[in-house]
Amino acid sequence: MSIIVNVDVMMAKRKMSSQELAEKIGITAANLSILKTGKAKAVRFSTLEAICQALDCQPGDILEYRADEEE
Amino acid sequence: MKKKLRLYCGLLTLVLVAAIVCDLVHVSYSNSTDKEREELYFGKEPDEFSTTEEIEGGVRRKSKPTMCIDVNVQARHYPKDYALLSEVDGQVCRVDMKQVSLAIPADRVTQSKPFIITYCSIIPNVLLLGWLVVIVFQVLRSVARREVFVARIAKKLELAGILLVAYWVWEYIRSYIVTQILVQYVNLAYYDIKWFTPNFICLIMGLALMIVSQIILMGKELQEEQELTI
Repeated sequence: MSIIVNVDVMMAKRKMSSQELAEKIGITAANLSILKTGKAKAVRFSTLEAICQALDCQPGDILEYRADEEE
Repeated sequence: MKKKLRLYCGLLTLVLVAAIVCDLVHVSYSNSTDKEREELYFGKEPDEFSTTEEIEGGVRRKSKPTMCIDVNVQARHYPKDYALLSEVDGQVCRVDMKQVSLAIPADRVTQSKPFIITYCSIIPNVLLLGWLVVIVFQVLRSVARREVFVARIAKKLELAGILLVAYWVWEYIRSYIVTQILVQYVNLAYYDIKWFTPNFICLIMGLALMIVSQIILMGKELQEEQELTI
C-alpha cells in the first residue's frame, strides 16, 4: 500500500495507548490495529477527523505517501 | 478474476448462438444393413412379454416389467405415398413420429447389446449429477450459516458449473455413439434414426453458474473493502 498511516508516532508523542485512542475516536481496538498495520483499504473522513482531534495533529502528520518500489 | 468473467461471458454468448444454429441442423441415419425391413404392424404381443399364472377359473396373463430405450426418429418416404393419418377437429392430419420407445422384457436386457450399451453409458451422467447434488447441498448449508460472499462458495459454484458443462459434453458424445450403435441394430420400417444435439439448457446453466461464481468473488472483494474501511 502506498499510503502509510503513522498513528504510532503521534500516539508515542502524545503518550496515548491504543485502547485509549480507540475509545476516544469511537472505533474498536481491532480496527485501530488494522489501521496501524497498513491493512486498511480506506479511511472515512469522519474517522480521520476524530484521530486528528484526539491526537491534536494534522492529517499530514499521520498520513504519508510513499511511491511503490515497482513504480 | 475479471479475465475469467470475460471468458465465461464470451463462452455463454457463443453457446447461445450455437443453440439457435443447432435447432436448424439435424442429422439422420438410415439403417445400413442389407436385411429387408419388416412392415410396421399391429400384432399380438409375443409370449416373452408376459407371464401366465393359474387362478380360479382359468389362467391370468400378467405383463412382465420392461426396459426401454428412447430413439429419435424421422419419417422416410412411405411406399405408394401412404402415411400415418389421424383427424384433428374434423381435418385429416399426418401423424409424424419424432421419438419412439423400444421396449423389451427386463430379463432379456442382458442379451441385447444396444440396451446394455445405452444403460451403461448413463452411469457417468448419474455420477456427475450425484456430485452436483452434493455440491448444491454444501452451498445451501453455507448460505444458511450466512457465509455467502466467501471464496469457498464461489469455488463450489464454479465446480457445479463445470460439472453441468461436463454433463452436457458427455451427453453430446454419448447420444452420438448410441445413435451410431442403434443404427446397426435397430430395424425400423419407414423411419430413420435421427441424432439431435442434446438440449443446450444444461450447458447454458453451467456457464451461468460459472459467471455467478465470479460475481460472488467480486462481491467478496467489495465486502472485504467495506470491512477494511475504518
